[in-house]
Amino acid sequence: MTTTLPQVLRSRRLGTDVTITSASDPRRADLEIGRLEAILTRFQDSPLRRLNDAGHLENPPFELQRALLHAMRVAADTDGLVTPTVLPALEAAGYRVSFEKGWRPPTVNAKPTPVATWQGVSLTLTEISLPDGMRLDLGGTAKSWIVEQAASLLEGEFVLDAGGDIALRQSQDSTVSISTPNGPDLYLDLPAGEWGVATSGTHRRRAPGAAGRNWHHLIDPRTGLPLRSRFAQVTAATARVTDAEVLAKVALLGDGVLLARLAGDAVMIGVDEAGLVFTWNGQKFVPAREASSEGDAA
Amino acid sequence: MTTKSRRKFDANDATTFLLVAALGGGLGLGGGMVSRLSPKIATAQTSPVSVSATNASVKAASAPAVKLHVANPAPVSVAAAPVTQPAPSAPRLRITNVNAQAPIARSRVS
Repeated sequence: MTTTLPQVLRSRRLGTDVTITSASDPRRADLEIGRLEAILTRFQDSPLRRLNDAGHLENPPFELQRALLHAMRVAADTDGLVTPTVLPALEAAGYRVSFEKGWRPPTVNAKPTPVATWQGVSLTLTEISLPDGMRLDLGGTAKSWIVEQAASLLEGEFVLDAGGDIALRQSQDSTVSISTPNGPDLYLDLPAGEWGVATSGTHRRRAPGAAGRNWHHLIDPRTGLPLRSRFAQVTAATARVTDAEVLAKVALLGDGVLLARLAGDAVMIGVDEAGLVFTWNGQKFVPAREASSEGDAA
Repeated sequence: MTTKSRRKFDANDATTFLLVAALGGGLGLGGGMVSRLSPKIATAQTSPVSVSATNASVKAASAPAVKLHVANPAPVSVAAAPVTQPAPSAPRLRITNVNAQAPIARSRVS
């Protein structure tokens, strides 16, 4: 009898540390992450960058179409709250280069940058076109989408962790820890099965800048400025990491009505700047208590 | 000079639906989210009604009693009571990790 030991592969992709632990060969999934990143990045020459530069792209790669369609679908489902059209505002916040390459917040000119509505995108099988002035950043949704695509190549049990966006399949109950801004880790016990866990927040990759505010990479499309949220971070756990990522963003953006419509039975944990922990009870965030899950918090 | 007609992404547009279909499954929001772009599948078919009671009687106020009879009622199976607690179906948050298993991953803002 032979036992297949899990293989662990670590790489640097998507601007973060990626770890794949899998009963099957993790290299194919890792290569897929790199391949999709090369298509969807805006920080180097890519089909997405060429689309943004020219305003249109003929015969776009199939993967760009799919990732863009996913982003547009998310925008539709979130009433435009999570939208790929935030790039001009993101660049105004200093993100013309990646954080790793020396992002700096603006120190002057802190005017809001209007965020275009996503409906202006024209997407056909042979061409993608953008209205004048619209430029896309798929970073908000593409990372979890890439994780999900790569995870689909793994067989048996696996954990694919891309900088905190996690897709996993386990035959036994497992635990995922959650890093918090100023306190000890939290722990999320996951029943056996397939899960997606995503954490989004404003407390990393931020710096004080113009207008006496903290600047970071999460743009509020309602204001055209970096988001001001009651939470420093939100973690969501649901069946798919793509959904978890969107829910965490919507929770950060603070639209409780939309969240109640979208969340279903997802588990969400919010941590504020003071380190207080809240859980989602299906209608709103309530203070968490020891060994509680959503719904039974005080 | 050629003029290109730009077509907007429209969830109600038939070509868009074809595009959605061509780009394949695996897209979109599962779980509890409402998928606005998924074509609706008609589910108007009604399931056949089954009557499980035997010799059930229904009395109408001003009519003779009508007796319903099912010749071969379906057998009723009674599940055995579980002897152990059912496995949890939803993730549970713990503030501390005393005497718990080691985490297999760490979710964080990256």
